[in-house]
Amino acid sequence: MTEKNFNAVREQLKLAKERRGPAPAGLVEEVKEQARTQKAVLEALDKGPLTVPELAAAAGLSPRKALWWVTALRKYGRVAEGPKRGAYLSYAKNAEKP
Amino acid sequence: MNGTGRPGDNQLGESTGDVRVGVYVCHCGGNISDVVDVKALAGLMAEYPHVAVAKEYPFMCSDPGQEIILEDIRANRVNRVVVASCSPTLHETTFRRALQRGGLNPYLYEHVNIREQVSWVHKDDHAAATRKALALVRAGVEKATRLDPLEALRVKAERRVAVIGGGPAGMSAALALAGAGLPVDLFEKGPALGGRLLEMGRVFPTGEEATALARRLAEDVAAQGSIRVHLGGEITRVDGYVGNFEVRVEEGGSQARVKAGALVLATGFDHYLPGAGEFGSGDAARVATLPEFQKALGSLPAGKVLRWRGREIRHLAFLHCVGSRQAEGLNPPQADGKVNDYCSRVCCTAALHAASQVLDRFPGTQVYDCHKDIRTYGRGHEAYYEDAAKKGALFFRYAEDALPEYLPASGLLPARLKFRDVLTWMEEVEVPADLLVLATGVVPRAIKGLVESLKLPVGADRFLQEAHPKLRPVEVANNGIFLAGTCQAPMTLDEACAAAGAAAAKAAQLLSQAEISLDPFVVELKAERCTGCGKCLEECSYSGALKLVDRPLAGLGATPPGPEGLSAAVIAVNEALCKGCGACVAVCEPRALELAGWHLDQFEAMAGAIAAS
Amino acid sequence: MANATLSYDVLVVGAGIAGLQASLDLADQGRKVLLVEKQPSIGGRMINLSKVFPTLDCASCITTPRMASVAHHPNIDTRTFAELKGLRREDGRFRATLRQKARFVDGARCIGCRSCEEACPVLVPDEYEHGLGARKAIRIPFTNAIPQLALLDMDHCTLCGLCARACPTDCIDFLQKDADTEVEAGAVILATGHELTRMDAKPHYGGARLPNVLSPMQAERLLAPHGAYGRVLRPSDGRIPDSIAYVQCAGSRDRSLGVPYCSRVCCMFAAKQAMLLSGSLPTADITIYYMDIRAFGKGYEQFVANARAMGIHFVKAKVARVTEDADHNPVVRLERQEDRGLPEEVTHDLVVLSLGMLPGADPVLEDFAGVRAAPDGFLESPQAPLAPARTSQPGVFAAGTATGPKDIVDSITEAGSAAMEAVGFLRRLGEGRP
Repeated sequence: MTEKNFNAVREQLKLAKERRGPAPAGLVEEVKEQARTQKAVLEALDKGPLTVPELAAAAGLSPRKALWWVTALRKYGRVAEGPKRGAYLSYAKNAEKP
Repeated sequence: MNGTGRPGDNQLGESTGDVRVGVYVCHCGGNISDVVDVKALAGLMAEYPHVAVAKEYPFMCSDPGQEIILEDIRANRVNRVVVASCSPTLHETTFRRALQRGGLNPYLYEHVNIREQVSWVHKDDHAAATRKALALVRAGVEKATRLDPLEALRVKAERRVAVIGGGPAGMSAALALAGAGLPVDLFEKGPALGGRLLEMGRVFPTGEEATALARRLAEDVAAQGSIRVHLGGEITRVDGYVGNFEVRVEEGGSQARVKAGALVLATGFDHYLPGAGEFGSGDAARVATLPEFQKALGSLPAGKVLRWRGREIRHLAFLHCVGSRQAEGLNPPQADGKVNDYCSRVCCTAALHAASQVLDRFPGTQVYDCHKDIRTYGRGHEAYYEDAAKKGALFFRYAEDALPEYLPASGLLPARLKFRDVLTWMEEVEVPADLLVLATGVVPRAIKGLVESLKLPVGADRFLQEAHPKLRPVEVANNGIFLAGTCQAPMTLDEACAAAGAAAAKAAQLLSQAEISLDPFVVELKAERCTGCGKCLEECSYSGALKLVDRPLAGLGATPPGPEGLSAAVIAVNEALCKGCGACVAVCEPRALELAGWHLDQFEAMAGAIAAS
Repeated sequence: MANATLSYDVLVVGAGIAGLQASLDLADQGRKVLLVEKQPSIGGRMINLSKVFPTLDCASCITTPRMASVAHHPNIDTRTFAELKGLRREDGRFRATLRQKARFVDGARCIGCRSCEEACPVLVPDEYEHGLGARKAIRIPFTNAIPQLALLDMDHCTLCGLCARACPTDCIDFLQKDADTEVEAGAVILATGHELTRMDAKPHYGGARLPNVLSPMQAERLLAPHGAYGRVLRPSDGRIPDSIAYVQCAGSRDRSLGVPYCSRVCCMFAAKQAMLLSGSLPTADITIYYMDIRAFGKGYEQFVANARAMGIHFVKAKVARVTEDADHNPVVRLERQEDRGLPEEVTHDLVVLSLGMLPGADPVLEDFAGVRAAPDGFLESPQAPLAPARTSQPGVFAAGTATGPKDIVDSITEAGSAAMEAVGFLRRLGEGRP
C-alpha cells in the first residue's frame, strides 16, 4: 500500500464499519481463538515434526481439528509435509517461512 | 522458408538480433513436481546458453501461468518459448495462442513433455526423472533456438456441407446447418429419408410414433431451399481435404460430383445379428430380436395375451446384452476375431419400454427380464423399469461367468432360458419362454469405402474414433470431418440429434470464414535438388499430397543437363493434403524434402543435447 | 456508456463446461456472447475434479484451455460473481438485469498477487475443497481460477484492514456495492448445471455426521494433486486409509428422496476414483457396493472391466446403514446379493457416498422468461427426442445438466446442439449474418 493511501484505507474501514454495523456474531472471538490455536500448533511443531494424532495431543486439539490446521498452514506455507511414519504423515514447520 | 537453422539467423522482430529463450517448467498441480525437482530444473536451465529466463509455476496453462510468459515477452525480450509440461496434444495450441497474444510468431514455440514422458513413467526415481527432464528440456531449447517464424497455411473453403446419411442425425445436422445459413447436400442411399427411425415403433421417453417424427424431420428438410437431397445414390468416392472435399455419387446411372468444404458423417448403425443358433436364434416362431419385436409390437391387436406368429405367448422373456458386453473366451468372436466388449447403451431402456407396452396391452402375458445390469440411465428411462416391475415383470440377473442357455421346447415343456441367477444367490433357474426376445446391440454400419478413401480413424469397437472421447466427441483427427450420431457410438435418438447439432456447430465454425488456416508443418521442397526418383511417392500415405509433375530440364541442378526442350519429372507438394508425417523426408536421398518446423538439423541439435546430458 | 443497455446475440447462463462450450461454439461462428457465472470463477464443477473418466486426463489440464479460450475470446464477454435477474422477453428480444455482486476488490486493478490473502488473519473452511481445507476471508478462489481476482467474504471479515495494507495496487474497496446493468440478447442458453443431493439426505448413511463418510466431491479433492491434503488421508485423524468403500445410489433411484431417476455419472465416477485410489494407495482394499453398474458410455464398459481387473471389488449389495466405531471407522451394514447370507457388517477406513444430481436452478424462482421445469425439477425439454436443447420457451435453449444428469462428454455435445439452435433462432428472427 502506498503511503498516500494509508489514510484512505482508514477512512474506508471506518465507513465500512458504520455501514455494516457490528461484526458478524462470534467472528471476533473466533479469530482470536484461531490466533491462539495457530500459536499452539506452531509451538508444538517447534520441537520437531509430528503426526496428526501427536500434534493433536501436544496442542490440545481433536485429531480432526489438528489435520485441518496442518492443512491450512501447509497451504499458506507455514508447515511442510515431512516423512511418513507408519500410517501417518508427519508435519514440520517450514524452514522457508518464519 | 529460410531455415538455415543456426542460432541468430532467425528473425523475430527485426529489432532483436539475438535469440532469447524463455523456459517455463510446469508443476501440473503435483503431476510433475511430485516427481521432478522443478525448482532445480528451472535453476539449471537458467544457466543454459540462449536462455534468457527460466521459471517454474503450478499451472502454466492457467491464465496467470500464461501471463508470466507474456510478461517476459514484453519485459525480458523473450523471443523463443519452451514450456516443459504435459503432452503437446493437450497444450501446444494453448501456448502457441499465448505467444500470438503476446505479439510473437506462434511457431517460435517448443513444447517439451515432462509429464507423460517423465513424471508419470519414472515415479520411483526422482533424481533420474529430474535428469531425464533436464535432457529433454535442453533438447527443447536447442530446437527453439533453431525455429523459424512459420506462417499458417491458408486454404480457400467451399461454403457448403455434405451430410452423408439421411437418418435422424443426418437430417438434424442438415437442418441445423441450413438454419445457420449454410447450403447442404444430404446424401441418403435408401429410397427415402428417415433411416432407422422408420423402424423404431414408438420412441422413448415420449412414446411418440417414430414414423411421425421421421416424417416431420423430412418435411422440415424439404422445406429448406438450401438443402439438396440425394436419394438412392451410392457414394462411390470422397476425395479432397478440409475446405475442398469432393463427393462422387452414382444417381440413376449417372455420376454426380458435389463439392463441399466440410463433411458430416451420419452413417448410422446396424442391429447386431445373432449368429446361427445364438440363444436360439433361427427358431423364428419362438425367438425374435428386439428390433423385430419393436417394429411389430405397434400393430399387434391388444388382447388378454400377446399373440406372435399365430401362437399365444403366455411367457415372454427378454434377454439383455445379446451382442454387447461380450467377454473373450465366453462369447464366440465376431468376424474380425474380436468380441463386442462395449455396452450398446440403448437396449436396456428399449427392452423395458417394450416390456412395459406388453404389460399394458396384454395383461395375461407374463414378462421375464434376464439381464446383467439394468441400465435405464436416461431421463424418463428409469420409469419404464419401475413400471414393468410394478406391473408384474419378473427380473433375473444372470451370472456373468456363463452364457444363458436356450433350451428348445420339447414335449410338454415350453422353450426355456437356463442360467444361474445372482438375485437368488446363484440359484440355477429355467425361465419359460413361449417367445424369447433378444435385446440385440448396436454395431456400426459398414462404411469401408468411406473409411478407406478418407482414412478415417476407427476404434477398437469398430465405431469411428473421435478426436478426444471427453472433449471433442464429434470431431475426428482429420480436418473438416465431423461425426453425427451412431457412427461414433451407440446413442438414443435424442443423443444422436444432439450430436448432430454439435457436428453442425463444428462445421459451421469451420466455414464461418472464407479461408481455413492450417498448421504449416508440411513438407518443403528444394526443387533444385529433386531428381524425380519418385521414392517419396511410394512412402506417402496421403493420396494427392505428393505428385510428379513435368518440368523443363534446363536449369535443374542435380540432374545432368539434357537437350533443350525436354522435360523431367519433379515432385510437387499439395500442402493442404500433406499431414507432415515425414515419411517422404526419410527416403529422400538428395535431401530435397524437409519438414517445416522439423528440420533435420533441428533433430541433430536435439539429439546432441540429449547425448551431452 | 454509463447505464446503456449492453447488447449481445446470445446470453449464456452458467460457465461450467456446457456453458463454456456453448459460448465457444457461438463465438467461433462470429456471434457475440455474454457469459454469466454466479461463482467467482468460470470452470464449473469440472475444474474442481481431479481426473475424468474414461481417459483419466487430469481435469485441470483439459478444462483450463477451454476456460482460457473463453476468457480471451474477442466475441465473449464473461461476467463472474454475477447473476441475471428478471429475464424476460420484450419486443422479440430477451432483457435482464445483470447484477454484479461486490467482490470488494477493484477488478481493473487487482493483479492476483495474493498479498491480501497472505496478510488476512481469518481462516474459513474452503468451499473449493468442500470443507476439507481452509481459505482466508479474502482470497483468490483457487490456483487456476479465471479471472485471477481476489474476492472478499464480508461475512468473515473483521474489517481489520491488513489486506488493504498489503495490497500493492490499492485495489481493495470495502465500500463496493452490487452493481446492476441492463443487458439484452436475441437468444438465451441456460447452462445452469446441477447440485448434489445433501449428505444427510439419507441420515442412516451417516453423511455430514461421521467424519470419515465423504461426498464424492470431497473424495475428488483428496485425489486432486493440488487438493486439500495433497494426498489421500482420512479427515478424522490424517491416517492413510487402507480400506475404502463406495455406496452407490446414495442419492439416486430413490423415490423417498424425490430422486427416482438415475444420476448417470456415479457408477463411472466411483470406478474412476477407485482406480485413482488404487494408484495412489497400491495396498488399499477398495470396494464398490452397487445395485447396477451403469457403464453405458463409449469406452465405459471397458473402463469398468479394467477397474475389476485392477482388483477393485464390485459387490452387489444393499447397504442398510453406515455407523462408526470408537476410532471413527465407518461400519457398513449390508446384505450381499451374490451369496446367500445374513446381513453383515464391514468396517472400512473411509466411505464415500455416491450422491445424486439435483437441478442447479429453479427456472420459476430464477424468473427465466417463463421456462418450465419438468416434474423431476430439471428444465423441461418438450421436444426431447429430436431437439433436446429446446426448452418450453422459444429462443431459450438448455445445455448440460440443466436438463438432467449428464456426464461431461454428453454435456459438451448438447452444448454444441444448443448453440446451433440459438444460431438458427437468431437467423429466423431476421438477424441473419453471413
